[in-house]
Amino acid sequence: MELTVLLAVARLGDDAYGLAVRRDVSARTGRDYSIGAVYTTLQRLEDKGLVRSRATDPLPVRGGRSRRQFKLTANGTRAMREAERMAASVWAGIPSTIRLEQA
Amino acid sequence: MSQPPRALESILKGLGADPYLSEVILGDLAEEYTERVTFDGRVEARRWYIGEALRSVPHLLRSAMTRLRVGDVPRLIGNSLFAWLTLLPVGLTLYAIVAGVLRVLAIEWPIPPTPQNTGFVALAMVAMPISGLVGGYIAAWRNARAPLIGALAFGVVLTSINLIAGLIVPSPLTFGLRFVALAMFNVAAIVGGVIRATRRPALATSYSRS
Repeated sequence: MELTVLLAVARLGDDAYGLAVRRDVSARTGRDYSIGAVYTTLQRLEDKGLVRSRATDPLPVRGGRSRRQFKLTANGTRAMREAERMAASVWAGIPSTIRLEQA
Repeated sequence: MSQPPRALESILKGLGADPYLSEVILGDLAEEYTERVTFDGRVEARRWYIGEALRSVPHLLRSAMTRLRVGDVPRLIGNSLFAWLTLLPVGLTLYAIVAGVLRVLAIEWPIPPTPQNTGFVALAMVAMPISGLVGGYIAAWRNARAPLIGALAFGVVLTSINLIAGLIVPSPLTFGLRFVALAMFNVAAIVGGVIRATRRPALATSYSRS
């Protein structure tokens, strides 16, 4: 879940806030994640220093509440690269008949 | 513009989660609710909102629990005991009223406290939820920052007292009836907390004073 959310933040760029991240993650995984689950993960990523957030100005559409926009940090970028490298490493040597792109 | 159900917003706030988390969750819920009212209609949007609000409860509750500090526990217990002591005169008054009515109706009083006596069992099954409801409301009122946590603590504290007292003085209720009575007490305490939270939303400040 953490990696999926981190990738969504990277993908969405300046539009990365809870609702957009949730929609992106749900659309790509085909699972309907709750808003609470997404924010709990985002908060965990922020605690780990992988993303940082800032509050926007209050918006009427949110009942006068701010949006919290997330941005990838340098540590977050490093963590994503490491995850990709590790994924490539664990997939290495798997017969091509099993790989998705070969099916 | 469409306003999401205020009562549900108050309940979610009343859980006393990290204000950062509860504000962004409530904001997202409000934003998507407005969109859904436009595209799906108010009834469908309301149904969606209720479902999502319920799905958010475990996350907000977990946040509220992790924010509890050791120093908050005595305060929660103190407020629970305050609610209990406030209940005593109310309970005694109700007892006197019931006794008076039964005496007028020439029904045996006091009712022997045995599980075989349906009158006693019925009285216990009515008294427990009423006291839970009123006590939960009072405890929630005393915990302005997290009313529902206050009501929840009231249920837990009073249940613990009941169980400890049961070790010293055996309960006149059977195990099953006692379980049902305590369950009703706790549910009613939460309902009391919910009523308080919807009447007077929780303060926007964090639960812990830090």
